[in-house]
Amino acid sequence: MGIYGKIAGMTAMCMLTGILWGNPVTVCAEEVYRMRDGVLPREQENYTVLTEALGEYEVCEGDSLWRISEKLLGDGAQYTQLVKQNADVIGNPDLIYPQMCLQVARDVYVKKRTGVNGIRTPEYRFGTQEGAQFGILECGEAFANCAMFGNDVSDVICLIRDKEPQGEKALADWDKTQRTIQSYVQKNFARQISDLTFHEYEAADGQKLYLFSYCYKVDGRPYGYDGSMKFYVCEGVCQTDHIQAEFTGFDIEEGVQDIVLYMLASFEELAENGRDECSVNGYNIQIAPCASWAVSGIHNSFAWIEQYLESMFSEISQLSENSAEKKPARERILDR
Amino acid sequence: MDEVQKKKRMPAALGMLVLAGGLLAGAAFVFRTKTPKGYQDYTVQKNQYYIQYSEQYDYWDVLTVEYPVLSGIDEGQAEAVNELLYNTAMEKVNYWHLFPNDEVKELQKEYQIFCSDVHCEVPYHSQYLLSVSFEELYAPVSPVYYIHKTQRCANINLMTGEPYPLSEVFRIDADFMELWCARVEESGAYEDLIINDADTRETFLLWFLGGDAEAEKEFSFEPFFYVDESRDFVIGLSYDPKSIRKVANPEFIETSFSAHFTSEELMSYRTDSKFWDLYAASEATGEVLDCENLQENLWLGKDASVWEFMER
Repeated sequence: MGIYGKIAGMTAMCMLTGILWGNPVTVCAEEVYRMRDGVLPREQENYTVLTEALGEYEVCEGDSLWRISEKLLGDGAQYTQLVKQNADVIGNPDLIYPQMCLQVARDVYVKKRTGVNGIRTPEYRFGTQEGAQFGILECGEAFANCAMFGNDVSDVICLIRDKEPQGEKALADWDKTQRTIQSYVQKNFARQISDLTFHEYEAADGQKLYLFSYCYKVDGRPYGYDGSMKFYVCEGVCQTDHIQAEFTGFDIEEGVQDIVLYMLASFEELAENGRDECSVNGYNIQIAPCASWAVSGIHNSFAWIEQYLESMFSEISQLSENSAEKKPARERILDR
Repeated sequence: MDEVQKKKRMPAALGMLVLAGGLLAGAAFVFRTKTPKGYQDYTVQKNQYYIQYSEQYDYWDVLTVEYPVLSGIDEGQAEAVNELLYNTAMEKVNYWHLFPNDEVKELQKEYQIFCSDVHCEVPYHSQYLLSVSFEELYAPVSPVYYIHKTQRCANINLMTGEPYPLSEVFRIDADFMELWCARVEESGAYEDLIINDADTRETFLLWFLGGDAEAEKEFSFEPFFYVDESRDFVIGLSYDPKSIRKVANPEFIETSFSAHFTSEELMSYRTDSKFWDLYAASEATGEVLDCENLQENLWLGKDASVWEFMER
């Protein structure tokens, strides 16, 4: 690590120590996040395999396993996965019949967090994006004191809290939660939000990860701009024995879902303080606005994103108004 | 008839010649009296004050301050000139580090590092005049977030050791500010910070002349100039923070503005300073030697990784 790395580490450390009221924390945002659809067998030990159940598929006239795999998994060569997943109904991979029902699941490979990279406290650790800075993300009323951001990295706000019954309930019935979220979005954000999709992954050890992604469109007209701007947002939730971790990532480019998935998959509860006493509520991780909404126990990322982006656009339009009217030289130079 | 007229004219012409000769001799005498014989053979050796983590402080200090040392002129004069040059080079190091006032002492408790990287140039050196420009990167508090880039100069009469401040050599008034602001604006070096409008001209006139008492509580304004190799002039102003409230700028900040002018452009702004007699009589002499074993500043030097951070 160069001089810059040391300084950046020191600074992030100081910020975090301030936020977390003196809890010992190690921060080193150097990890490269990686997610792949397939890896070579010799590389598999470096990856966590997450399986996403995509549901049932009814074979149509003219289908082949290659074609189904290409259509559903994005890669025809993964047809062997279909064979493995449906071993009870597929005797011969060359023989499938119309109306045959196949269970389709997709494996994704997420690079394991290695070394000390990422964020570590005595209670938990998780990996972060390479080049991400750690600190407070704030704009208008939107606030998060445990956030990753920086140039060329997606912004991610984190909410790490003790597991509570409402959160457990929401995740236990994920189908119902999905419907509630869909209906909430329809009612409150029909104009802004599109492409709402849900994902549920399961790791080999049974750990479940829940994600939902969407596009949030900001109309530029109220801020004096033509057209609109699209943001890709992904909210991910997972629970360990005692902790619920939520990451909300957003970016103007696609790919934020991979980052959130990487952070979730690398999230681990640590037993260093003794499992029975493990609690992170003393860490004072805060997100605002944090109003109650249709899904109890899960952070309302829609309201947060709305607040954050609206404030950001207001500030930007204010800035351009201010720059149009020239400040006096004294102010312009001395208050730089 | 013509011959008679010619004979009559001869004494008058001779008289004129004698008078002209007398005037020339008088002028030469006056010039010799006004402009003493200068130093033809002197040396300016660049030295460096170098400290890296002295362990005397609760914070890290990394200092690479380059300054010129003059030899080959009258010894007593050289001592005074060298002291002046050294103090000019060390100005910020003295203020923020070696001789802190009470307010700075408080700030030192918060320092992570104090670092300064000064480089000097001696663009003009004649038998009478020495013109030195100092460029400094310094970081009160932390080199990651609080780097200032500033400039200051020293123009010295080698005969007397007397320094020439800008206002003694140039008439700084509203007309001059118009010329200066226009040149700075057209150089495009400072984007929209300096424009040639009435407000900017008035503000800078106050700063050049030291008339903005309120701003001077927080900043130290230093007008400067140096003579370059072509005998042209670079004229500028630095405004460095002196109050600890003004060092907390999270970005790299350039705290000096300057512009280049030809000697002719400034003719009408010349004062009656002795400087101009010396300037007129000056020819480049003396030798400037580079610093032997110049050390790179670990935090602010050109290869310091702090710049990678700034680029991000």
